[in-house]
Amino acid sequence: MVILEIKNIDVYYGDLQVINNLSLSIEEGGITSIVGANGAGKSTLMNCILGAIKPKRGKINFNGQDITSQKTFEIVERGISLVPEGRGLFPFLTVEENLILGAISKHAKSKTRENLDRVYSLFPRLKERSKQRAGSLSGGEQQMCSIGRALIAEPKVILLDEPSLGLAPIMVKTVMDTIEQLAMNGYTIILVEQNVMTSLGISKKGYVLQEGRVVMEGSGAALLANDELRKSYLGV
Amino acid sequence: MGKIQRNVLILLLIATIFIVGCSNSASSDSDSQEIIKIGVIQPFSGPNAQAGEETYKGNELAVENINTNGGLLGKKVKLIKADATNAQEAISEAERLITKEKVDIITGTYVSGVAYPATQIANKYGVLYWETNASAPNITQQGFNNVIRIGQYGVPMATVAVNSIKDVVAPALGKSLTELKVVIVHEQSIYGTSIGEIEEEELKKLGAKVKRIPYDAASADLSSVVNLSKNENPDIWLRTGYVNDGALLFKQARDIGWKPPVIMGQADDNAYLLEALGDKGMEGILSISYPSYDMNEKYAPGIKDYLDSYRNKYGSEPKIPQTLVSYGGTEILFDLIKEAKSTDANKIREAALKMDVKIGGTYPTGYGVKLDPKTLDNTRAFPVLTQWKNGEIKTIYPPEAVGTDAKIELPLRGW
Amino acid sequence: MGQIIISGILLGGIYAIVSYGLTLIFGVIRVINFAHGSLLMVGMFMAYYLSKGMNLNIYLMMLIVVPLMFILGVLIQKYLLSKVINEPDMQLFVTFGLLLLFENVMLAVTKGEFFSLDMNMGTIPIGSLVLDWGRLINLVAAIVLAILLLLFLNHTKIGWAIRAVSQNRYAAGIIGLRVERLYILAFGLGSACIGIAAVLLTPIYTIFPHVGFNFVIVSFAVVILGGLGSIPGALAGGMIIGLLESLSGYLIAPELNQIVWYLLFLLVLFFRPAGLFGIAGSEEGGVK
Repeated sequence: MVILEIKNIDVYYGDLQVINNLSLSIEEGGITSIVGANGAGKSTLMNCILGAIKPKRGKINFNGQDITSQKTFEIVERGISLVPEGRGLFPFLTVEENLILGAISKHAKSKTRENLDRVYSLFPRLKERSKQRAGSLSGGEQQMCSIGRALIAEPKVILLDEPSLGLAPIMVKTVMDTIEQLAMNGYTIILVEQNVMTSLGISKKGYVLQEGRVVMEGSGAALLANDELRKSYLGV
Repeated sequence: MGKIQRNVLILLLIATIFIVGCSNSASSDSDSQEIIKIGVIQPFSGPNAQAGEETYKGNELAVENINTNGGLLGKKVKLIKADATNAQEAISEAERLITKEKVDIITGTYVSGVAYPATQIANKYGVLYWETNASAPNITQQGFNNVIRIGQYGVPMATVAVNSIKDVVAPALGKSLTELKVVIVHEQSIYGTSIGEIEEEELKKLGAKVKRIPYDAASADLSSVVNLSKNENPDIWLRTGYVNDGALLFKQARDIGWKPPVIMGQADDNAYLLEALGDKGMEGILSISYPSYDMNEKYAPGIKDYLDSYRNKYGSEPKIPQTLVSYGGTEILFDLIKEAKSTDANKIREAALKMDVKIGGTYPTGYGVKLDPKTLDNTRAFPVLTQWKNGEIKTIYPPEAVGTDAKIELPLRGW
Repeated sequence: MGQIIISGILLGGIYAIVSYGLTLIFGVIRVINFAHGSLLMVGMFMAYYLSKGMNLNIYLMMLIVVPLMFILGVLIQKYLLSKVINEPDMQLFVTFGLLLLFENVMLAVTKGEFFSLDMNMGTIPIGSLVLDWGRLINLVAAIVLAILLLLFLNHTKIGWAIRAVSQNRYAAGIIGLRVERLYILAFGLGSACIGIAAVLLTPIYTIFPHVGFNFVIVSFAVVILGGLGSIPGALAGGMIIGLLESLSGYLIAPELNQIVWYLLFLLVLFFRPAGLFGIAGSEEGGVK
């Protein structure tokens, strides 16, 4: 079943077009990777799905309903959460305050305590540091905190924008394992990654973006095996 | 935000900046040899609008008076209002009065900052600028021979402060001048400083001990001024400043429970200070002031007529003493025009320099006339000394001016 | 000398209380609010006229002035500043325009006259020293308000949300916080704090359309000195400036009473922009 469908969207920053007649559809469950060079429009697409940027043309459907003109908080409420590039934590708030603020939607609010415990059991490190300022955590811990904050909103779809950026190799592996784990638990994951080999390796489907367009799509394994892709877009 | 919204917003902002202050339209009826035109520059809008309007009423009453008595040199006198709240407007309004309205004389001004630039334009065209009110020293220090200040300014204000201390305050305290300790506090701009310095110099000459403390009138706290003054344990606390700093200074003295035997201020006999400190707080405080409405008729001839005509025309008591000052100043101008048989600046100056009128007994302000030949300041524009008594202002000095049975009562007792 | 220190502490209370509103508005919305002093002036006139009109104690006016100022702040943010939320230059224009608007309207209404409440509330002698009730009440209020604001910001979810928005507006938006509403709330609360200060200062000062000017520069100095967006910092910053002003007025000269703290303010601004108590780099972090 298609859970998220993007139809022919155009997105501009001022006069500059960053996404050009882009369409893609995401099946429920599993990991979908979006790869491409810097400036291909990946982050813009994430923000657009979340309603933080509005497309000039085109439509976005979630669970069969048009969410194109909805505000971010309404989209979060419907079940899409973003783990933004650079984690997007509130550095002077404690870890726990950061997490609890994630439970902003109506249905998540009543289960805050329960979900908080789930996040803590998933990331025991966060429990140990729950009273520390988020800004004092290591990069990996911050990423866990950011993922935890997204989970606490009770999403169906989680968008992850460059989750491994700037992390030590060992932390990259932990984060990728966590993402796979989340997919196995039934979340639909949309993953934007620089680390193409790893991300396509765990994805059931991949899209390659170039200058705001989808130039290639296919299963993760197929894309990884595609010579043209390996040469021209992935530089490997 | 769209371009249109942005532009509208900018427009609104600009409009707000200029909306207050620029609201004057020229009235230009045809010129005639049968009238003498006097331009009056005052702030008729903005923060000093009411004071400007009240000061103008003095000119208006004097003109009505002269016109009903046959006019001047066989001509009727006509006033032309010009609204200026700042230097820029003062310049353009003075230009307009002279070149468009073709006035013979310009008079003013409640605000010194408006008078100063306006006198420069008047000087450029050689038109007489007859200053009845503004007191800043720089107005008459420009070396212009067409700017005459007939009203009071720093020197006579400081002189009367010192004279009254010598003549009535020290005797009331039962002290000789050499036993007196005076703390002078004044705001630090040219207004307070010029008066404070003369007071210091003159009091020292008389043998009194003097300490002078300048302060910033915009300060949110004057406790250091109060405490430094208190440390000196003075007999007299002599102040020059504005309203808001005055209220703060007195309140902070009250807050530490200190009231010296004598408090004397420049023009501290205003309703604003009374509201701030109440009858009890102001009781006994002395002010070097503008001529007061309770002066006696012998010292200030015509003051009763003036009060009657003010009440008849405007239906209230005069609100500020500056109205009387501009009224009296305008009367002196008319006398000089008669004397000089002309409205020419040079002829009027010649006549004015010859004029020698003693203080008291001639004009409703009680002013005498004797110009300083260098600055053309009227050295006999003497203020009076008043004292607060039960929420009312009583003139108590000079003795000839006292119109009631009020006597000086000192020392002050508590707040 | 003891009296000078008391005066300094009491003055510090005044400087602190006028700075909380600026701390919230500056710290959260990141707009340099030129109209800060004018809002204080408007609040003081409200308190004055209401207290005179109803013939009730000035401190009771808090119940009316504070909600009114809250609403005024909400309207300013909702209908003016939010229209230019991504244009910092225009925000400056708007707050400057408000300054002109408020002051000119009040000039037109009051014709430049001065207003004061004659509230001789008496003094409290402590040995040879004296405290006055007006400033003492203000000092206590400044401390209580600091505690309440801290409790609100640190122990309520709305408080966290306000701090979150000030620390990372983008992230606050994408987790579903309603940024515009929080801005409106923050401006409203900041404005309400100004209202509290206005009521407390009305018995102490003479009110006229430019009365706010005397407090604007000092408020910015307090906020910078204490660390942007820090409520305890504003209290401490107010105390430091109050004491410095009082001491330098007494020991150097009254006309130079602001020189010392002004120098300190400039030094901190250039060499330690996080403020005296802020964590380095926290000047970018908003309300802490």
